[in-house]
Amino acid sequence: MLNSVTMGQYLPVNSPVHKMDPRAKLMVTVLTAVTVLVATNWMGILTVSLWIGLVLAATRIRLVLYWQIYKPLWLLLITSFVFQVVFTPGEPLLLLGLLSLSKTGLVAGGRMLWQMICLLLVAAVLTFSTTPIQLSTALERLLLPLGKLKIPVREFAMAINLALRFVPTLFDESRFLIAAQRSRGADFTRGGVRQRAKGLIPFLIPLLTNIFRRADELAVAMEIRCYRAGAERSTINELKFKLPDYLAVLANLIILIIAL
Amino acid sequence: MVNDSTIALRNLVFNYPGSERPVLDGINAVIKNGEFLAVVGPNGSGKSTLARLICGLLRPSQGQVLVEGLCTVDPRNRIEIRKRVGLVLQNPDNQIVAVRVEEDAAFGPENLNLPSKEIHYRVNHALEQVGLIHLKDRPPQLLSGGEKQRLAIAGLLALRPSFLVLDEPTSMLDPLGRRGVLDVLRGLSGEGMSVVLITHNMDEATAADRVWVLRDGKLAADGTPGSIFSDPVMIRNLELDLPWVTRLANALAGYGLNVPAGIVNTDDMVCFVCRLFKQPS
Repeated sequence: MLNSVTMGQYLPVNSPVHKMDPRAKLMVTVLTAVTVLVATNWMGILTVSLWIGLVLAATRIRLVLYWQIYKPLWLLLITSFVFQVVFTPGEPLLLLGLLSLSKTGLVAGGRMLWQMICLLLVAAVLTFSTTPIQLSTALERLLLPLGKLKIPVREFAMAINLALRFVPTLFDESRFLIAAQRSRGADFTRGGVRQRAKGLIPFLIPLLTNIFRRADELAVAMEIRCYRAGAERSTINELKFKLPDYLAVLANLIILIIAL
Repeated sequence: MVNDSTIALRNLVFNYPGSERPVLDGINAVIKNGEFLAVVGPNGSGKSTLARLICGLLRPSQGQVLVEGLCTVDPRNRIEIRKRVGLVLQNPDNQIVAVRVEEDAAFGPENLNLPSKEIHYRVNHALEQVGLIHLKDRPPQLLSGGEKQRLAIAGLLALRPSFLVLDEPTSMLDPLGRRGVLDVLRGLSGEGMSVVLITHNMDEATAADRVWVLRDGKLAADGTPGSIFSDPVMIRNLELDLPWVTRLANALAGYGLNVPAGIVNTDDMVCFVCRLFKQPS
């Protein structure tokens, strides 16, 4: 639980994909997703599939782990495939009672299934190889031009990072509070919904007051370290587009053109 | 005459809005560059308020605080004062902003918009000073309380301050963490850093060069640890706890031994006891 929130699904592996600039990864993810959605010709579908396969191999993450993301979703995938096949009008190839299967239906269903599988894989590559903090930094840097429209991109990113930073702290604290209230005889497991909700009050109130106290002290600690909202900041590890990053984005652009 | 490298408190009065009673009431004193100052006093004597006034987080109700000649009230001085005076708070968890030790120590210099190379240099040096360089890739929540406080110190050192103010930095730590933090402070003081340690632990105060005793918002005593803790009248009037070394000295004196006045730290006590055993009885 602790890890699942702060680290997302990040898997620490030493791979070329992990080493890429998170901005490049974000761009490639969006480009690939677009390509998958617009690809209609066989050439396009083939190249995107090959490209995704190549990226998967480059992450050096075992395929079993990718397979796991489909586990909770396979029923949904199959159902939507069946619906697409059955309800796409076309010349019937096969009649099963009232249902008719057409060639166009099969193609449309197959294409949709392929798109969903690809999109899930692409999303998995990004979250497996990038920490949430890297992601929010990348988003911050990519969206920075919006600052000209008076949208406080930098401040939003700082807020997200601080929230991620405090998740484990607050998680520890809530465990501590539950133990403290249990030792005073609180029971969080018995009674109806209403009683249980009521039982949570002695847990939620101290948690909330502590959060405010922490926020207050954090603000002081940040201020004392020269933080000013809206001011220009640098970072210790400057993001840098390197050759592989350029190549990946370029390759993806070419694939998009092929698929169009 | 204002010496440029000091913090000068001039007729400092502070009351919180809506309160009649001043928390600090007419303090006149100077914190010299390079000195290790301990500020002690009972709860509610205004120690933490003093720390926040020195850093310019609070504005004095009357009088002024001059940090190296800069008045803390003037908003134009704010960043310059922040660069000169660092403040470590009590709770080690609430001062950490990043998810890696190195990035947390870098937060201050990042706010100054320094180039990445300079930040790396400063952060590495600061982490070395507090002995955390080997943990720089660790997530801070996996550090012990003492290590977190040392990280907070490193985060301030990376700003290259002249004064380090610590508001009861060890009160939430175990004895081991406490010792680690104190060792770091002694080391920094030895390198010429000015340290202002606010504490209610008298044993910590004996590590300082100079002690201020605050009481009811007034500076009740100002002197070396030896002169303050060995003065029984002052101790009684100020209701101070005694450092354990002083208690030992008093107990030995009770047995009729001739204990010299002003022994407050362990080294002096060890020297004294050794000499005692060498003497032919």
